[in-house]
Amino acid sequence: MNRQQQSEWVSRQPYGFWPELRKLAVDLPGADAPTRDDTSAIPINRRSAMGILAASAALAGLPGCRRPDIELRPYTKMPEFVVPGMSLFYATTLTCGGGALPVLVETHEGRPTKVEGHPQYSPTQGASDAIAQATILQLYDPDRLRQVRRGGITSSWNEFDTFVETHFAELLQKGGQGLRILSDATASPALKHLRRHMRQSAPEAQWHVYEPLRYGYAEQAARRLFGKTLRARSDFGKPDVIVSLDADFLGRADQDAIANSRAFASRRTPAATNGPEMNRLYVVEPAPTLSGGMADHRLRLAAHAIPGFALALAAELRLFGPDWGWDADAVRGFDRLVRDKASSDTTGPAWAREIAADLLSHRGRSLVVAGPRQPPLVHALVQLMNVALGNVSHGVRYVEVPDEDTGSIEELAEDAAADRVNTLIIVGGNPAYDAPADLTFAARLAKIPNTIRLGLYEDETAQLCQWRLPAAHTFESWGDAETDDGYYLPVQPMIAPLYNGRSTLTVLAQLLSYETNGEYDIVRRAFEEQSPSLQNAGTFDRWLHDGLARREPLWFVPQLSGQAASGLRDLLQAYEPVTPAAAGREICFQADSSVFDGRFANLGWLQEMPDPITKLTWDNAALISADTASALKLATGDVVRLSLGERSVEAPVLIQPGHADHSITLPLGYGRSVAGRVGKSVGFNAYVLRTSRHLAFAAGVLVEPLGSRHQFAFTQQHDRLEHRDLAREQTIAQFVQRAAQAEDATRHDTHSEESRLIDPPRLDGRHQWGMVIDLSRCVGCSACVVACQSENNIPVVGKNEVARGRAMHWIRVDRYYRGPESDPEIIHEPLACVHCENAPCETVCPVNAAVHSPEGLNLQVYNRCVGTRYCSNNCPYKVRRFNWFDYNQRPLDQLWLGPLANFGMAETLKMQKNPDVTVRMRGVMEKCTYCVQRIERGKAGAKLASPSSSDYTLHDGQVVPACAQACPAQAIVFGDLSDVTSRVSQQKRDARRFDLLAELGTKPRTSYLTRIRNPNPRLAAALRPFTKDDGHE
Amino acid sequence: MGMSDSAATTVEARPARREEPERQLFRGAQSLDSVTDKISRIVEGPPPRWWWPAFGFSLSLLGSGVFAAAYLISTGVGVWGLNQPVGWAFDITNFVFWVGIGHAGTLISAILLLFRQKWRTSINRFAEAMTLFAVACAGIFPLIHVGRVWMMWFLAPVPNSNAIWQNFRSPLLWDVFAVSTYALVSLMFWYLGLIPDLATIRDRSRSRLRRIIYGLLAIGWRGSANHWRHYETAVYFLAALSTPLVLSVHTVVSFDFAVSVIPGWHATVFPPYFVAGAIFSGFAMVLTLMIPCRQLYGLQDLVTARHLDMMSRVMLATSLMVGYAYGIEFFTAWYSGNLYEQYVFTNRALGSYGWAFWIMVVCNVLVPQTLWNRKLRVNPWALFTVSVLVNVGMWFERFVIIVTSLHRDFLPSSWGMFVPTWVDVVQLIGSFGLFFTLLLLFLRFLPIIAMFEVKTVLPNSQHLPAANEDAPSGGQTQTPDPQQVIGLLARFPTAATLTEAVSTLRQQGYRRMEAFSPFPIHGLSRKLGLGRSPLPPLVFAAGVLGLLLPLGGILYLNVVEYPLITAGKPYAAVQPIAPILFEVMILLAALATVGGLLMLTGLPYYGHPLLKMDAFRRVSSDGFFLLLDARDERFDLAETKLALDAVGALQPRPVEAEQ
Repeated sequence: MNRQQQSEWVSRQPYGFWPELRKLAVDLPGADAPTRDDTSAIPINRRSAMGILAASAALAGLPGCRRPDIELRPYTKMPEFVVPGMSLFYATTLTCGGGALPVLVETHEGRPTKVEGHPQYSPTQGASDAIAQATILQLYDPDRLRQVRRGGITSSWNEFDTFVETHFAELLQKGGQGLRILSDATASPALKHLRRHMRQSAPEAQWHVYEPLRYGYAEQAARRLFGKTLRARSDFGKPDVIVSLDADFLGRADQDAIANSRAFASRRTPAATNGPEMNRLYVVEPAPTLSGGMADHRLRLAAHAIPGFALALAAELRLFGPDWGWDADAVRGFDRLVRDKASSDTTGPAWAREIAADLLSHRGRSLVVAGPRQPPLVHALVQLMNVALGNVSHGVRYVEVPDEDTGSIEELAEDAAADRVNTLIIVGGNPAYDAPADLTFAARLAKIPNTIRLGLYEDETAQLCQWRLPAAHTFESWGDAETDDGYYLPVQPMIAPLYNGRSTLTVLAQLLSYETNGEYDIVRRAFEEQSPSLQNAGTFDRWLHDGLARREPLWFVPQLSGQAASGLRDLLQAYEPVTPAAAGREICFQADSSVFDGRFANLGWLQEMPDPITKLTWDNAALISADTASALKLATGDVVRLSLGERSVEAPVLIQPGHADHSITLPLGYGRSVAGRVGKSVGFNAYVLRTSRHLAFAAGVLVEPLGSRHQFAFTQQHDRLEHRDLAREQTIAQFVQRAAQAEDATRHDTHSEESRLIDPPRLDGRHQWGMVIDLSRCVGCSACVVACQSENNIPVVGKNEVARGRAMHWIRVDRYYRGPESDPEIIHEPLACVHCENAPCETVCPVNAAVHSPEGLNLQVYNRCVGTRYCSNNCPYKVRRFNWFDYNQRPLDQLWLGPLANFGMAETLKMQKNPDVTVRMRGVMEKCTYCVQRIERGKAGAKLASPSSSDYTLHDGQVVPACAQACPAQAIVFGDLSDVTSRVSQQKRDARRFDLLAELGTKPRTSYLTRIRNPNPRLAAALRPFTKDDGHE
Repeated sequence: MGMSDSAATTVEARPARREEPERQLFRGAQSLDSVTDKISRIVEGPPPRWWWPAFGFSLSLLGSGVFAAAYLISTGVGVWGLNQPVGWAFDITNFVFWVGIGHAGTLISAILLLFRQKWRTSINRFAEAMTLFAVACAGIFPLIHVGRVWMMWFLAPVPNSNAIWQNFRSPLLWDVFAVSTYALVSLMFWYLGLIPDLATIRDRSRSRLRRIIYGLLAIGWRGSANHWRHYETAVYFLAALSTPLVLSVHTVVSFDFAVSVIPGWHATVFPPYFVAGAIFSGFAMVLTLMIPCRQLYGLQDLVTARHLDMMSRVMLATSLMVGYAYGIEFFTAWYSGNLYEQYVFTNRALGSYGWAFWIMVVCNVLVPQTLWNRKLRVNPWALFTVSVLVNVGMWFERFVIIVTSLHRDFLPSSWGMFVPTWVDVVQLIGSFGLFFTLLLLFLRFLPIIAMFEVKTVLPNSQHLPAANEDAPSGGQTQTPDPQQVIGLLARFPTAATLTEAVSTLRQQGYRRMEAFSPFPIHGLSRKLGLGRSPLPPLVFAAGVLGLLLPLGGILYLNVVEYPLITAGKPYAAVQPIAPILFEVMILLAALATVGGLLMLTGLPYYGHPLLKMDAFRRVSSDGFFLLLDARDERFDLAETKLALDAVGALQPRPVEAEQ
């Protein structure tokens, strides 16, 4: 994150070194309360004060050795619910790309500090993802748009209000002719309420929706087959066999990734006794994704070849046989078409044959899913397969979505070109950056006479608009959202707008002359419209408090419509089979794992979160396979020019093991030309090549090496296990075979405890904390990484520092490849401090900064630490992190300027800090604490709830560290080992348990559960797999 | 005083046995006076022409190092190329390198003294000085390499506001004790050795300023038999204490690595391996510096081919030990069957830092093999080349051990590379700047060869033929006031005549007398009726205290006062604090030795009447004196004078008390 400069928006007089020295105010927890707006108190926190004290003591004797002045002020009027020092949670909802995630936001004295998933939302149950976690950083982003601007000149809301009065009165009088609204996809009934109002008050106006990563192909396919617009809701917890055709249902591009991960992971462990059997996943995809990494069998295939594979699979399933109710003519037609067009030639017949056999033997207990970017044909085939296999209303259910009479961005661009647009309001999105390149949207936007942009940032789109209005952040505004599966969710503010922003509802209501008492009122009305259908809504206040209400959606049981056969035939006929080699090299666009479609580009947490597969930070790259790279004589870091027609982009190449040949994957969302200080000019802009004809992938790209090199910043530089037994994995067959030896695993706990001359100190705390990470469940999504960063005030260090090997994450997800470079298996292994009972770091610290608590925590005492780094050197897990620079107090681009660099953290970023966790200064070592602040909070809560503080009960699950809480796959279990019934104790007794580097005698408190894979023995035999001993090429 | 015009007390170098020229410790005719003169002149004369440019250059290097350190401290350790996983690189490499260099001096002084190796006398002063400067350079790196320099006092075992004490089980704290003890003991040892020579410079100096400065530094040294009696005991004690100390220091430094779990560090061979390496590099550095020095100052007569030969033999021997250690590490890695160890060593030789490994092997093992050739051993420039290469090789040895072990340890996911920044490089150069600056100052202002020690090993130094230079001097004819006379001072031509005179006078019943000599004369103090020095019990008591005090203190802290769980180690475990007990024991014993010496000799004392007498000044170069105390029962000014004349004294003269 850019913690650049003392933010100029605080219009206080600039201060130098000496004024700071005179005024040593210290912000104790709580002193940052919203009431503290006294501008005479120069904001200095503990650390800056320490630095000044140390510096002045060193320079000038001891003038700094006095107690700093501290001002404590009471609230004159106590805000509701606020107890200083205690956190308060508000329920609200995050929306992105048309999806919605209910969350709880932790606030301290009015400052939102941390996002958690909503525990009562049954699809996710408290889980979240990296982007949800980073929303809090977005709220405080110092680069957000701060004032109303008109044509680049600072204006004000008053001026804007005046403009609206005159201009819009006129517009609405003409029925809204020439008035257009462009928004991103929304799931807000309140906004739809406004849209309905618009139809009445301005019938000539048009509302357009553009969402760069929504293709609508699945809906098109459903209309062909079933005559209705349907959206599939897959439940990945139910099927035994899952086949994914280019669908990364675990990756961030899927709106339901969190729910999918949770459901999918719940079936990844071998059933102990009589539970459901472990599921099996087949993935066919070009670039390795999270789903591909979890696959039991992964087939790498260029995106172009996937429809051919889908046809081959359909043929093997005899989908076009007479059994499915097709008339005989149709069957004959299909047979011929399929024969012509199916192509399994690139993969051999084994894949389609064995997958089909597996599906057929799991009728009604299987699921086939297709990726949103695959053409309608694939979706149609997949929908047919699910119907044919009897999976509907088991693994997948369909919900009918009403057709919305909104326009597309293509229509808008056309109208703009024809001067049919007089006034355009753009809320959300960033079309000047991410609209299809052939629309030349930016140029057309500039031609529109009146443009109004409401957004969080002054971005590419805002720069081209006349009115640039600062939007209120989700945490600053009222709103609502609904999900496909029937949840109705509130969006409520928990802080007054920091940057003078207004919410979408407020602005649109004003523009459309909607009579209201404000956004709250609109939401209330929307709630009242909804509430009759909600099962448990109760009152509006109840809904706000609970953060959700639900109604059962109208599930649609699909039946082939009369037009199904002809619709399918049309799709088949339109499909031109190609082989990847013949089609030339293709490019595939995909959402970036960090910045999504580019809207999160200015969030340092996300930029620095390594991509789960490539481990790349602060960049995107053109991913290619090793064979393609050698054919083109390219190495990782070489810059190439990719040309498609007359459009071209320069991109650095990254050789991605497991990538399909002849295919180049381009993550979107980078190369922002106008973003904040963090996101600007990071990576390259792949939207440049993306046209409305080729939104998903395009063949025939020319690759031209430019001879220059690009420096990447990876958090992991070595991908192989080097024959080391570190990330254990077994097939289910091996596991069953070895289960008999399970007792060995538990025995190894207690070895070599006897026969000591002097007893070692006893870990005799009342609780004994421990953790188990299930490698079978972990999908590698890295939500834990960002959750930890958010909870523990972990600084962002910037690309340069990451490249030097100085990323600060307390938990990292190691990703190893097994097998040949062309097509390896992927295994993820999250690793934070394992809290060794015999910790090598502790013995070597000269100043007792690394010590052990009686509860088994490996503690790091920051104020003792002098920074010898010996602990880190001696840590076999290399989980300790050192503050090489003053990452919190210096701008990241000035780290090397030392005392000449600007000093201090932006005020808003200070507000994000968790007051329960020390912000570390430079020169100290830090690492995972098992979220000791949460442990202590849990204990305090339990003590308060019990009659005496010595006799209290802390229930299992009452203390959850940030990583475990965020984990969508429930791969991380934390708890008290002294309680034999706790989940963590049970998991420690699992036959799959192993301790990382146990042979060193460190006795780690974090254990792992061996990853189990469930390969199809017949397919495995057919493929003659490589040997499993960590095979090097 | 007129040294040049006096007829020198010349001694023909009389070979004890027939020796090859390169086996000689001295070349040409050397006398007490010529030795004094040759060495003192370096201090007394103007600096040689090369000195100022060399000093300026060193100073600028030092300045760059100071700048780099200031930048580092003000900005953060990040300005070095360190990272995760390589938390130490140039910093600790430089530290171990310099500490290693700092081993030769004390080794030459202490161990060779105990083994009565006479050849050490020409080089020990120089080597000791080098030791101190190297330790000073070494000490900088652990200090500045930490993240928060201003908190470094947390490493000192003093009470602090956090109420937590140090972790006495940490090898880094052992380092603090070992290196600071070593620095202090080496400094005391060096300074003790300098005192008689500082007295020489004091006595020879003509300017008042020099006389004051060197007089202060010489703490009133008079070279009396009583001084020498305690002095020799003290020096032997310090030598005896320094011997295990010098071995312990690099042992403890090696514990920084050996105690860890990191493959490539965790090795039991490290202590002897490091000690051998330290001696190896220390001797190489002595040669690197000594060879140009003897050339520039024309000291070939005192530092002879024999010295070079002996030094290179030690180097060759230690090179073989180091080479063996390199080999055995690979063997152990292979034989252990430990995957991590095996990988580290394969990677060390063939991985990304293989070039550094091969520089190390070539410089430290292959190049020194040339020293089997005797011709090369006595050829200064060949030897110079070898020793410079060994210095380079030994720096790389530490780099290889530290960086190649850290950069690829257990988990491949956290493997990384270390690339130095300009600050790393300037910091290294700056440490050489400090070293050379101190060395040049030493060359300029202090006697670079231990004159009095050389004198003890001069052939026939103990029984010189009579000299007749001290003719009656006209200025001393005034009859003294008998009340003011505190004794009679007589000069003797040789140590033998002095000894003889003492025996005779004691037979005559004289008891209160004091003998003075430029070097210790064996047996003289016995003849004077002085007993053994009472230092030994004092030193022993201090040593016992030094053992028990930290033992009791640390156990109290660890078990009773503030028990902290570190790495599951028993609170009362003594093993992890053993190095500290040892170091404190040595430290207190050494302090008691020096303190006892000062107490027993009554030094520093600047007011002695003899120091005012011009005639007495020769005592520190080649004069042997006897002072008969006026308080003696048999003392009578005239009679005693006659008795002195009878035993061959030259020019007995009364000594008057202060006015």
